[in-house]
Amino acid sequence: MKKTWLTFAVVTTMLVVVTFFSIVNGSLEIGVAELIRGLLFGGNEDVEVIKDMRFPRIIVSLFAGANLAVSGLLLQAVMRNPLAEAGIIGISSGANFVALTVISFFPTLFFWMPLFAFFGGILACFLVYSFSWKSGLSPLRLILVGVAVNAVFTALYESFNYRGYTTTSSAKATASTLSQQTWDDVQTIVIYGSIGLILSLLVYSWCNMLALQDKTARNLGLHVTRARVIISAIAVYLASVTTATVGVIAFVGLLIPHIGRLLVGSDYKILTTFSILSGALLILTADTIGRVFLAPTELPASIIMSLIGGPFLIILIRRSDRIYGG
Amino acid sequence: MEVKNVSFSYNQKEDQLKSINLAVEPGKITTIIGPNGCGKSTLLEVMSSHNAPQKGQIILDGKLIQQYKPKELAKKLSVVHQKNEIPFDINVENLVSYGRMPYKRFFHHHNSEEDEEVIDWALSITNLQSKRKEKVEQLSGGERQRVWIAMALAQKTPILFLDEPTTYLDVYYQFEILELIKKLNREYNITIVMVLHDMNQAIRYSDWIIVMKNGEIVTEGSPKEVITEGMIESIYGVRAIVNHNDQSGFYVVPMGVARRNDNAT
Repeated sequence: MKKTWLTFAVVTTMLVVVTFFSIVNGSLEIGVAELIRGLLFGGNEDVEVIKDMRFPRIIVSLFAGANLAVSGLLLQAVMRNPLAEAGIIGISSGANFVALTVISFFPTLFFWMPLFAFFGGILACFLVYSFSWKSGLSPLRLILVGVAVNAVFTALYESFNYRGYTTTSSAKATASTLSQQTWDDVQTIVIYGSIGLILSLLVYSWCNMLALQDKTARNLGLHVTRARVIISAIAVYLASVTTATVGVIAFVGLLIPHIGRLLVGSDYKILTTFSILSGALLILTADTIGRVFLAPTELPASIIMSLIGGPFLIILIRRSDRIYGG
Repeated sequence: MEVKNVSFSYNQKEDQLKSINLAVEPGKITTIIGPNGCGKSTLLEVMSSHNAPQKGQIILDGKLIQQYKPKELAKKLSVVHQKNEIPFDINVENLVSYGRMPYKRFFHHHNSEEDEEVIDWALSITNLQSKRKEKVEQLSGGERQRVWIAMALAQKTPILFLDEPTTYLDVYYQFEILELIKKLNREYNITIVMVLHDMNQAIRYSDWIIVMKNGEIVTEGSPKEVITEGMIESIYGVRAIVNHNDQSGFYVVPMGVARRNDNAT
């Protein structure tokens, strides 16, 4: 319990520190006092630029991280599989493909992009479930089918792109830059994202029961199939909304829940809260590193993520035989 | 609880249960025995509504079992499974408190006073009060089995199903669990339906024994009526001596294979 509180204290503090650091640093640097004065009274041109360019980016990063981390966590709960993650099993690429394809044919429907992304995500999720279901979910089969679905959607997307059919900018989708975020993007991800995050906090007791086997959960009065469908839908929704705004960012949904299990345990009530905070922290940190330390050029957050995340995950797995089996 | 003419198949080709009829007598211990693959566990699964039968009816308190909402059913009938998965860091108390889930509404996660009392009761009966803060994963096999029983007890159901509760346990823990089951039945009037492998344990701890083979009920009755040398030979293909003495009551001594057991599946 003590460890849990300490973990939350550290993560929250870091989140605040990194957010401030991110606001005042970059190609345009500014003092804290100056910033506060500018925000309160206006009249400072630098502050206006930061408000227009940097704030949206920071807010979108925070939400993207939280959404993706929770999405991964929920998928792992529902699929009973530590490897389930929107980026790995094809949900993000399905969302991405459907959204961008629809938009490229009907550019006027741009406002509805998150909705189309959601359809794509649901389609991918449905495919993964139905192809891997064989009187029960085998963890291995599920991941293999997921990887295959992911490959197909990624290829579909790329073939459209390759032949020049897409009319929207593809920069968003391929390297998931967080750099061109506007206040409109903020509005989308904050509204849609908050709904998903609140929903995810309501279903934690279902997730806890699904961690027992299905039979046991059913004996305890859980409507197992209904709970599965609802939790999956929330997970797909969070991943799709995020993909529609920032493109595909893999790994957060894998990394954060696993760190969470090591630090705060397996109770989904605590784990979900942890994932929201640390997911936000992780993506913001990755984006800030990519932006600040390489200024004036920058590296997309997704690349930084993989660079930090890969080795980190390996270290964690090496150190935690208890969870990942001898 | 009544099972009427129930047939069930996993694959639509071969029936794992064929026209099963039985009635569970309230307040008694009913034990299902039979060779591997005879459909004992399948019957228990169908009776606890995990699998819907293709034919027939299962009636609990005058109502078809499929018509119960999951939570309603969870207040009538609890099940202890043979194998269980445990979250790696959960402690005894928290796992047992899952047994209160059927009594909670969606947004009310906290344990009420009544919940706490029932959890305490379940932990006391299963002799786990001193272990309540320990992690389930670190307990011995026998203690772990008691935790799952405690969770089922926290559901406060009049009926308890147990699927091979003594398999994987050494002989001390086997009897400890069986004594516990008997106590639950005699002192708290919980109706027990369980699957057992060991015939001597079945004789000693059951009021009623149901013998199954190839998805059918072959015979049922009191232990004395059912467990005979002829039954053991024809059902299990094992030569056995059934004897009685004043100290041990009825007992079975298996002597060896009687013939090649062609019908075993």
